[in-house]
Amino acid sequence: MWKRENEAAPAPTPAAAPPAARTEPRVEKNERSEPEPPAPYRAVESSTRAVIGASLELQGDLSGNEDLLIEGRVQGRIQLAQHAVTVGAKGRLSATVHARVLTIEGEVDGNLVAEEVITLKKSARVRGDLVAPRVVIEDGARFKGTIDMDPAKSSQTAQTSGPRPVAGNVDAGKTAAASNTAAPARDAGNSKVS
Amino acid sequence: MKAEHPSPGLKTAIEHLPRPGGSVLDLGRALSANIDFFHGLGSRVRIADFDRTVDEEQARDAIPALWERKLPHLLPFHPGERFDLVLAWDLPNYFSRERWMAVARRITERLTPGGSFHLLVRVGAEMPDHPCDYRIVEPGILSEEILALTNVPPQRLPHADVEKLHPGLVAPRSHLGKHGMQEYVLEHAAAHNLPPRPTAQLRKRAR
Repeated sequence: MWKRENEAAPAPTPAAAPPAARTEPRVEKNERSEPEPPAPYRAVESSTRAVIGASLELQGDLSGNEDLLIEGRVQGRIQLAQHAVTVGAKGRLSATVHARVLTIEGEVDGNLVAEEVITLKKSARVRGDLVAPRVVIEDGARFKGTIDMDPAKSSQTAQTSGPRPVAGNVDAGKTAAASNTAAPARDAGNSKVS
Repeated sequence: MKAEHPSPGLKTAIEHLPRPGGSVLDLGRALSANIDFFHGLGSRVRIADFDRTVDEEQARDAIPALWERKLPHLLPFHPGERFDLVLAWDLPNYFSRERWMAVARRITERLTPGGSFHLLVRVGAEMPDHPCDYRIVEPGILSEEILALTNVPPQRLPHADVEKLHPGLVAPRSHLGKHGMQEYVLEHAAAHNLPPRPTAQLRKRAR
């Protein structure tokens, strides 16, 4: 019985395969190789995405060359200007972030700069300043801070902004003292030209 | 529950907003409709989410001295930050007079010389137990969304007291909407060459 199946099996496959191989695979290949219209950020999105898991806690500066999903706790500075950074629902961030695309579902305490878009999902809780050409805030998202959608400012702000206290978390006097370095860039935002 | 209402005061305030380059402070929640609207005018927007911040910090019933001390934390600004337009929609009723007066003083310091403070105050026998959401439909029309399920007696802010609670400002324009909201556009008294005075006297003088 086994033998019979084995004998029978090879016969139809080569017989059916050659015609298909001559015509169909070419079509299939062409269909598969048709380029999908890429979203703007997909062009630079890397194939891999690093994950900071829910049990991880990280302090310090973080930079690299791939997308990042944060489900744990991060404190410091994240510099991924060409990549997508997502703060998952369990993610807790106390950091300055510069990314191409930023999506927030968890909690962030710090300033966010994106080259393309910042999206605050309905579960997001953000305190800090946002700078991006486009900011999307879903109904239900909590946000407190300043939003600046001047596209020209994204890269400038990213260069000048370091880790700085979010005004809401400190006494006004302390805020004034601590944020002196960032103040000129911020004040300049009040007199936009474009 | 949502409904659209005219807001001639807001229309005027928006007309006075420098564009581009205006700076707007919204004391309410972060709502995409409003943020997108002001960014369409080239303005920078600060969201204070003041009412919920006060609740989170358990500061609503703080004694006046403590309230004054907590205010920079509840309503923080960057050094030198100034605003051409401040929006306080459906908020004053939810604070005692002393506390709101302290808020008003803090905002007045940050209002540019030609700036406007747009106030929506509920009038009537009762009000929702939480402030409503307001979205700009177009410059003269606001959409009101009532989020609360229960009503409470309002903390009354009589028309005649509005200027008294906002030292340094005058209210040359006000409008009572059919939905029970009185709107005021407050401006620096100095900009009108007038000392602050009760609204009633201002009206008499204007006539």
